[in-house]
Amino acid sequence: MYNVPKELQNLTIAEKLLIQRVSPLVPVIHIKNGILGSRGHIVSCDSY
Amino acid sequence: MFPVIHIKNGILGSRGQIVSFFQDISSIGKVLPRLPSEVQVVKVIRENTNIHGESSTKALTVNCERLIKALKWLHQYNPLYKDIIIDESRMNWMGGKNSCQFNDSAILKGDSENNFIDDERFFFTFIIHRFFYV
Repeated sequence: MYNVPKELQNLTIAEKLLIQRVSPLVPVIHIKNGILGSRGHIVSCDSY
Repeated sequence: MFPVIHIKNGILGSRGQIVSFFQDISSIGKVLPRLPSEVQVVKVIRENTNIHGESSTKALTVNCERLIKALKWLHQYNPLYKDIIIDESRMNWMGGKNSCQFNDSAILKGDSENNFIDDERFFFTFIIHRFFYV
């Protein structure tokens, strides 16, 4: 278990985009009716 | 490119095709926060209001104070953020307001009949960006 500090709780998607240093790429595939799965490796890239 | 829909209470789902693009990742930014123009994201939002009066564009709201606090916390405690430079003047795009939207969002106005959708699926947020999440 881990605790998320209150400063990082409730950040919106927009706020996360502005402060992120690393962007993970998750190869997501659509299975059926909005259900998602993952195929392959997950890679994280530096944001520039 | 990841088409996302907001189902309820921050729960996200996916609709449609997912597409990947090449991206130049040759350098890493050290000055944070980034400007909205530096975030490679295209946002198409269908604007709706739920029965409690909350707007569908909430997910793309930026709160300046909350963002700077988060960044300072990361700078202090996260070794990956030790070398960053926090430039608060980069929040000037907000025009002095404490909270506002990404200014390049494309907002599709909901029509009057569908403006109030039932609470179960009260709004539709369609976000496309190249890499998702922190």
